[in-house]
Amino acid sequence: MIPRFDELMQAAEAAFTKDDFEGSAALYAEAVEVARECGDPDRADRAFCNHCSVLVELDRGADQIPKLKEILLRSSNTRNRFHAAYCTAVAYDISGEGDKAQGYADRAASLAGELGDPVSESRSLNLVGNLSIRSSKFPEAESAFVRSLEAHRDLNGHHRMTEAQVRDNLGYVMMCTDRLQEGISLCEEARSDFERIGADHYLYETLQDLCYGHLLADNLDRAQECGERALDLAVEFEDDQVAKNCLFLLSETAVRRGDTFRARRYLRELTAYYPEVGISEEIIDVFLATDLTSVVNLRG
Amino acid sequence: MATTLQALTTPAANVGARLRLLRKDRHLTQTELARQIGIQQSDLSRMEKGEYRVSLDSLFKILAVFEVSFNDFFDEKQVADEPKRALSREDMQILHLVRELSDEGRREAMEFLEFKVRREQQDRRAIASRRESRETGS
Repeated sequence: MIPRFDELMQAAEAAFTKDDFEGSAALYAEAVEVARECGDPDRADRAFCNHCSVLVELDRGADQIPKLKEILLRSSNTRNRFHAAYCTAVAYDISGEGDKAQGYADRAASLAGELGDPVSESRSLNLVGNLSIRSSKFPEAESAFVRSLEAHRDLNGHHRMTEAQVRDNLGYVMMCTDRLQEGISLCEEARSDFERIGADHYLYETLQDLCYGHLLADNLDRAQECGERALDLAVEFEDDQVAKNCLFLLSETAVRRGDTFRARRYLRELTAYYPEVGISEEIIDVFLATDLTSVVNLRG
Repeated sequence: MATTLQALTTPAANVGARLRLLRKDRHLTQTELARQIGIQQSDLSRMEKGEYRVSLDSLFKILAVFEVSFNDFFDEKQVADEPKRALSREDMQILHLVRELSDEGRREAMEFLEFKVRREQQDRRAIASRRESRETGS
């Protein structure tokens, strides 16, 4: 029975990496059943946690939170408890319950520390940092990202993509806390890593952050260049959030140049994303009249 | 303490303070407004103190809740009228052209000119207001 379990787990993981989430979820569910039939609760918990991480991708993770919490309380297997805490955090985050997500992400980071596994540690600390940014807790976010990068140091250059993401996140935090040059340098490093790897699907958020940093530093040409490229990629990858942020940043860049005609054009495109508000000249005036760069959270 | 003092002088704190006034004008509790915007009450409280940044989505929800206009949401800076000038040759040329128009044409031209004047005034006010904010560091 154990070889069957291993086969199912490998097939589920392979399906997941090919973005076949439904197929992967079905295979993990079968693996849970096989482990239960064998009377092996550790394997059943492991397969169940993996099953939940796939359900989270399918936006069906919230239903599993009670069972995940049960594993966290009951299991003596630290790795399974880590997975349960991490999945619970992500599921709460997607449900919009930021405070609860934060608590479980902290728990996951602490369990990852007990495991002594740098991959799990850096991943959970990156989650802690991202949740902290979203609630504008920048010192907490900074501490988590710094620790996540320290964990990456033990990986000797493996997982470069996630390391670049963490570096970009830390760069954004620094920009939000008046350390522009340090923030821009970190984001530039992340940008060159993503370009070298060819990861355009991560690159555009870094370009958005660079647009923000250069805008605050009054490097308006660089801000414009990064913002336009980020906008093109965000549209290509259908990421509305980054596209909206870029339109906002580009309008701000145009305002600082005194080009209100161009600023209005970007702002009309931005307001078109909000049909409930409509393309309102009054709202465009609010954006033109007020510097909202320290009010808006690009990761909100 | 330093953070609080710093927050009081930032643009985020100014916006937060204005938001608090508008909320109170509408007799809304923090819990009610937070629910309408889709953020937590504790985050709205921090936003009013200038300690919480909102997403663009939340900002648009706030503007929609208050059916906001430029005057409502931000203190509009009064810009002194430009000094009156004698009519130039170009001004006279425009007047002559307008005289050539039918009544309907004159009405349309008037509407267009009023729209352009209003728009340019708004843009000038916006830029002047921001320049002033930046110079005063607030």
